[in-house]
Amino acid sequence: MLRKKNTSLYSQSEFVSARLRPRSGVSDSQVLQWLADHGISEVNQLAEGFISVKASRKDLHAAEKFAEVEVQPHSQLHQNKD
Amino acid sequence: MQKTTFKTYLNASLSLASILQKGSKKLEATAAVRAAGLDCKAGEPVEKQSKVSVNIICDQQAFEKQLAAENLSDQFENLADGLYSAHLTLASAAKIVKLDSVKRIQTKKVSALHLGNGTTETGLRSQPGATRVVSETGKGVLIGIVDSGFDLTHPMFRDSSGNLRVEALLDQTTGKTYSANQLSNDWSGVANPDGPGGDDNGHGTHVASIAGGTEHHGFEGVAPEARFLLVKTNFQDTDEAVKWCFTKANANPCVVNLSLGHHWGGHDGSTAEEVLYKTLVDPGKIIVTSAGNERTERIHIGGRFVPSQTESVGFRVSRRPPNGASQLPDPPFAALTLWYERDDEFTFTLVTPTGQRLPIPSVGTRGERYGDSQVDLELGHLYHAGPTPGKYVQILLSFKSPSVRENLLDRWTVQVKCISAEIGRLDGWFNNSGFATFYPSRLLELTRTIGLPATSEGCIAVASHVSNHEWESDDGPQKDETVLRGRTSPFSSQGPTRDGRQKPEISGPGQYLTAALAQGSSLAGVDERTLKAKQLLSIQGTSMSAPMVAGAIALMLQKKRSLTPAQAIEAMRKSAMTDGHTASVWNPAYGHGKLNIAGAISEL
Repeated sequence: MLRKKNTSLYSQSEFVSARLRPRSGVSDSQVLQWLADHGISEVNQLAEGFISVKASRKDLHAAEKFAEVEVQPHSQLHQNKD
Repeated sequence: MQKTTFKTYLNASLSLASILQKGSKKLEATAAVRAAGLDCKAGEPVEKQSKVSVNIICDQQAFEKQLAAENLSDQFENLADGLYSAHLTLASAAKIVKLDSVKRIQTKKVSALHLGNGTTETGLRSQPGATRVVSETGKGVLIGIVDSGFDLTHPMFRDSSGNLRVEALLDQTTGKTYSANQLSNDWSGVANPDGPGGDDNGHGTHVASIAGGTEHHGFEGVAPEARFLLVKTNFQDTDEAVKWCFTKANANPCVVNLSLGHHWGGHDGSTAEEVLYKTLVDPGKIIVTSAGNERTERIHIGGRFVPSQTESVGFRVSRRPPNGASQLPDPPFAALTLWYERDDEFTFTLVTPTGQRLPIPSVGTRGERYGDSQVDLELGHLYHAGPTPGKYVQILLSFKSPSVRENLLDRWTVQVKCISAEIGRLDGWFNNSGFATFYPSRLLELTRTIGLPATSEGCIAVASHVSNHEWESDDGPQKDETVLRGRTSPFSSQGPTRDGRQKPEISGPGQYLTAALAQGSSLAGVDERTLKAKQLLSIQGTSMSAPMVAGAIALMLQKKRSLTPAQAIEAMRKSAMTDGHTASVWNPAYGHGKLNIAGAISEL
């Protein structure tokens, strides 16, 4: 019997690669400053409005206040297996 | 017994007779000489000790006696009565030629091997081994390859002078970058996979050589004079890899190939990665992506509902999800997302193998969690701000041990009820191939199986068709009897995108392609796919058709450095080959048709 839980499926301290897109009215520089203030140093601005970060799920959850956050999925090779 | 001369039956551009004759005149091992079967490195002088592979048709008893008398050290293999195969020095060949017992001797020409490289099917050559019909070779163009790694010791990465054709390499698994000088001077000759960006899988080496490999044993990539920007990816930050390639390319034209993907997203071009690619492409900067191999993998359901309609679809979670190169967890895991339009109303229920019914929460709920000692679940229902604003359900199943009981993996069910419908369309995907499969259901679809990031407006998505179903291998000749030449590959993911865009754009040869084999890689251990002595590998997938197109675009970029993705698509569309297999208009399997390289270049 599955029971309701309050714990997350994922560890909040787990570091993941994510993409941040600033919400309307928020600039890239504001997001970058917030990341710096929180000690998140693995940051790469890929283009205007696209920021790549490696951060904990907890920090990414906090960043959702001013940016859309997407955890990068893993890709697979497209060689067809026999 | 009538003795036939070589000229009677050797019709290669250079016969064994002429090799024997010219061998004394400091003949160089040109491509033509090597294509005629001579085992020499490009540019090396042909010596008496140079070797050639031949078949000998003979009077067997007499031949064996004469052979014994000649006392040759070469290896002869008796294939059948009166038929021998041999790998001879030219000095020995000169002696064998003169034996009365020999009726016929033929060099094993490289073009005689069943090696498909797709160049004839795409109009780049009139026949195997023939001269290319276009003058473009990719010179001045950079090809970015984001893949499993690269065996830089393979001759296909080096020019005819032996110089590495790699401009730079990024290894995302270590974070290290390497310049051309570092690769040439500091790391030259380090055996794969120990060198920079080493390829322990073998996929990346194969893909890169399809797009731009230097001629090797009769095989040549589409753009053999382009230079490479190589990224050994961590399979997650592929967008950073593309950005790195374009930054390194600077003002030079560059096409980046991605033979990989996933299904975690709305399939409408709205994820950050997909939107980024649309931002990054520019005149002279183009991205090519494989469509995926999920057509029949049963990872997609879709259909149009009317109010009150109810459907149930069962699924099974795989015990062993893909891992290794993709660095995914070993215990069973699956993520199912279900997408529908903003004005429609659906309710969903997940039914567990034990019959427990878990209602999916109302829209706006990030995640309700359930669990026991075996499995954790997360059920979410959220708004989606894509090109077609909508809503989606996310069901995550994460088992706690690889040895979870079998009956907990099977017979999960999703029940869907349509409450109200303006459009009424529902689409669902598991996160990727190999994690879970739907049971047969009327919601199971072969279309809309194209993956991300091929769904991006910034990418040219490539399907696969069968160009060759026979190949040579270390296990002898191989043939795939289940496919038909010219037909779409049965695995090739189909379009359109969920928001109705026409993808894939084009189909390329992807089944089966022979190209570079990375030594020491996992694919090198599959004898029915490899020719290890020649360092060649024959495999299939949209992974293989995409670099055919990437190579073609490198040729197009050589002709027109400011080529835009839209212009490339238009040139391929106008010139695409259509036949009895394809429609004359865009269709989900072939896109606009089959790649015609020469035709596309002439459209520019």
